[in-house]
Amino acid sequence: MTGLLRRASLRFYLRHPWQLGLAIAGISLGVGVYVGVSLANDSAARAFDVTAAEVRGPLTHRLLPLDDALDERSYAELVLRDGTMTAAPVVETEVGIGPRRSRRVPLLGVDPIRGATAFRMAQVAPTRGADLARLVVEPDTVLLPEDLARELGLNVGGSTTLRIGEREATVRVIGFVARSGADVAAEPPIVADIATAQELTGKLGRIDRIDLELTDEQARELGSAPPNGAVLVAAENEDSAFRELTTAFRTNLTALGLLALVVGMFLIYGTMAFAILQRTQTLGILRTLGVSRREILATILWETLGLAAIATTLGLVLGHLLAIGLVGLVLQTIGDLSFNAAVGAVEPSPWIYAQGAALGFVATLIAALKPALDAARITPAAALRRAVLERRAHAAARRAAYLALPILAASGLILAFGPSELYAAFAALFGVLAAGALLTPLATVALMGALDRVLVRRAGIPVTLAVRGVSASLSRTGVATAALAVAVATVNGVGLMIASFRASLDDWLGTTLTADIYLSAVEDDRGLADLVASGILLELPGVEGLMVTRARVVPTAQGDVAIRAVRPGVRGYGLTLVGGDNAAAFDALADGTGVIASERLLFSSRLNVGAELEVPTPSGPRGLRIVGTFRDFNTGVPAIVMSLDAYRRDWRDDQLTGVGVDLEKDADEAAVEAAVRPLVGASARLRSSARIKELSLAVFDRTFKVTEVLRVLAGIVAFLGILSALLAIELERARELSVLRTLGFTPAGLGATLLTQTGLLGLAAGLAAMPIGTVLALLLVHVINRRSFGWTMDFVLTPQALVSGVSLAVIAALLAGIYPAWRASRIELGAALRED
Amino acid sequence: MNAEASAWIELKNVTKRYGTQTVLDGASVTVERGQFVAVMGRSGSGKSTLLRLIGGLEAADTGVVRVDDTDLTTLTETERARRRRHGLGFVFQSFNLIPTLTVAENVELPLALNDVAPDEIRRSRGALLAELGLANCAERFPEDISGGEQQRVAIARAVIHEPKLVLADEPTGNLDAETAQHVLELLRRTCRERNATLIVASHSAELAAQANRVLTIRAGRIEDLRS
Repeated sequence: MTGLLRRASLRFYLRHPWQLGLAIAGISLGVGVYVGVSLANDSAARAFDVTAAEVRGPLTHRLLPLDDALDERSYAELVLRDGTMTAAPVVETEVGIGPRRSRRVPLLGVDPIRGATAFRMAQVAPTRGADLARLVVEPDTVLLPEDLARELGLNVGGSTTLRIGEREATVRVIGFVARSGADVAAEPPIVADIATAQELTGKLGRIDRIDLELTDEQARELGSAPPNGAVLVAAENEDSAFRELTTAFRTNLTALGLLALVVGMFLIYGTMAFAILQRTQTLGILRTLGVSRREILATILWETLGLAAIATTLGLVLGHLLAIGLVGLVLQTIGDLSFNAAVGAVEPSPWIYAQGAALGFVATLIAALKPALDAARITPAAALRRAVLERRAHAAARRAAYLALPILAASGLILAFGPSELYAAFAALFGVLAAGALLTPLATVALMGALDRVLVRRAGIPVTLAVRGVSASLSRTGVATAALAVAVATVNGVGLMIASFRASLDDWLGTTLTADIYLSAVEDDRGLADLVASGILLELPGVEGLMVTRARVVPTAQGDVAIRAVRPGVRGYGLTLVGGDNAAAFDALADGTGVIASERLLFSSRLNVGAELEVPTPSGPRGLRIVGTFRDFNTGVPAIVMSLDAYRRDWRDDQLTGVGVDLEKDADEAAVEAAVRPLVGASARLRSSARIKELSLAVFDRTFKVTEVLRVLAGIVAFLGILSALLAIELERARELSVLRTLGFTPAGLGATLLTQTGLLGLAAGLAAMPIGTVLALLLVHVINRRSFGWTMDFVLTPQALVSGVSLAVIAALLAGIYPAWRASRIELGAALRED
Repeated sequence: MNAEASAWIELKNVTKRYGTQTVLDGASVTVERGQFVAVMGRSGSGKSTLLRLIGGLEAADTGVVRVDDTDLTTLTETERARRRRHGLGFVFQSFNLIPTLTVAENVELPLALNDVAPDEIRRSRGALLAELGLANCAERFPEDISGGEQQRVAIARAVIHEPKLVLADEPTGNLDAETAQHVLELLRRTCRERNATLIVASHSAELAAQANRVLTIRAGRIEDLRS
């Protein structure tokens, strides 16, 4: 018996190939999108981990100066304290080389006496034949990167001039060097003996850091008692901020992938439900013949598993292909955010394919369970009339709407009182989407009822037929409309979030970039400080004022914190305060009694306005009182802004890393730029604020390109859902449509009526998507992004975004309706009207 | 005047096949305007096919199907649809009312398709529903009325636009004997009053007894049993 039933199932699908195709397409797309996104994410994460580890090399920790540089005696002290410790002192700076010394290359001073360890730690390798003894013994000798030597036409024994700050020095090439790690993106350095490097950079007796390879115990001991004026930092901590950022970014992508799977489930449900509905009479006959409920259920589930197996396999292949496209986008985004990843290929992880396969099977079984149970419940008395089925569908729509209310309430409670983790926010977000989907069928019925009341006797029979057709086929249209509404709501929600984000970023850039021209130091020297102190900049025609900044990163108990010490120009600090008392905060900032922290810092450290942030300074630990919070869309280390004078007092550091030039109202920006450029030479990078803004927005747009791809995919799944439902309706209503043709509807007239019905279905989905999408956007803007990135932004509700969502739904539905309408208009009247 | 000269419907050497099965094989017949013709025959003999060919719902494979001086085989599907809209009423065994339209809306459907003015539609519909005893269920949906009422609605829909030809395929097949008799009488009367040609496919001997003419289909050919 089972074999016969299975054969009947198989033949059913072979006779309805489009239905088979749609079911397979729905599952495949859902699985494919999920697997594609997961693989891309995983590859990006691996790329990050592999590259970060390779860039770090054997390095586990770094001893960094609290001041400008470390006393070189710190190194001797370390070696004396623990002779087994692997440590390498380093002096590092950037120098100019080549014609006009315009080519910027890092100069690395290492201790060749330490032998291979020094080079291994620095991730460089001298080429064969390089005489390292000469590097130590002979002054002003260097190893040059091979490519650079070739570019400059330099051989062993040749000389070249380096520009270090304002000074120039001639060095002799005694060999070549290459990068030994996998960080191919990093520029190989010029390598010198540490004493030579100290001499060239004017850092006699001082070093920039000590690279360390420590055991856990050594790290604990050194961490608790570092040499004076130094702090121990774990190498992997240096990328923790980036790790958090990419994790959050990837969580967003995963959520979108899951969303595609949910929309795919709608499609599976719709297709399976219809496949069973179509066989209601056959199943009724089988029950009459004595087939048990269990056998019917087993047959349907067997058929579901068969579909799931084929579709999931295709989905895995599709996912792999999708990942190849997505990985580039994700890596580009991550690269834009702050990191040059060295791995660019999809790294297949068997676990993700297994996850995708499990999801495909589970999603298909869940989606098919209700239709299968319905099939098993069919009475031997047999075929249910369509009217009865539709009455049941209307009752189900009411029950679904009642169910939506507690789901909405639970989502609200999770947001208000639940854990503040990201997963809770996503749970609430999915709750809102589910509630929206559950409310959509009843809302569609209500909308069609209202339209019917308005249009009755006015719009003519074809329109009345179209309006009533939507409600009358609720068993089909309900699920399809809900799927389309969810897809469009996602498009709306993500679109509104991106628009809000972009508007906030634009606004923030406008507020932050108060100056017209920015100079940023490329070398850690006094170049910019001396330029500002000379007063030349202020004397240039058109220059109204200067904003000067010193930035440095310090380790704290809350993780690394970027200090931005600022003396504002004529247009203030360029900060948008989102916490604290505006006037009091700026007063405290100006007189050095308080600092203003970025909202990301407060979010990640869980500190509040009024709290003290303890930071290490050369004169000992110091508590900085947080008097306010500012909006900061920077993706690097969380920051605080403090007064430059207060910073200089505590750090005894009068260098500058940035200068903002404020121009007079009618000043010629190009002329000022031309005047400033020769003054700063190669020691600082010059950019206009307009260019910085343009670059930032370009990075933003690239970052969200990947979400657009996923939105399109979700749209395709929803489109297929509508197509499936419409084909089902066309098949179910073949007789009714034939009667209309018999009464004189022309093929075109009938097609137009069906397209009107489809358009109305799209309209209902689009209107339902408006509130769902808006709530989704609110959650993304105010909850998800806050919990992911620690950023807040202003919510921008543009009517265009909502209207375009409705247009999208109507257009998608109309496109999906073309083929079923065409088929219906060409219906074979004789066959359709033949009496049973 | 010979039969061919006064023929309002004419089928000449018509063949119709479904796959390998030949339903009509060189069939020929003529019908005059205003006649009540019963088509008898075994199940599957081709009665419904004959009606669909005359109604222009299907095209013949070979031969000529002429109605009111128009050869239907030369018309496009859209042209055939327009002809049906103006000049044809069809009554089915299983009623085939549009479930999403009320009784009144089902009845007025042909007038609406013919762009008749709303006032005229209201007047015609009201009169016909009253004539057929359906006035009290005008605003109900088909699923809410009995089988006999549904078939009366179908008859009203078939004649409201005063077609010259009404085709009925087993119109009483789903009804009990008493209701069937009532429905048939109604169908005959409404067609006679409107001078419409009525062609009914049926197994019913009672119905055949009331017809002006009885045709039967044997081995794909049409034979006159009584004229």
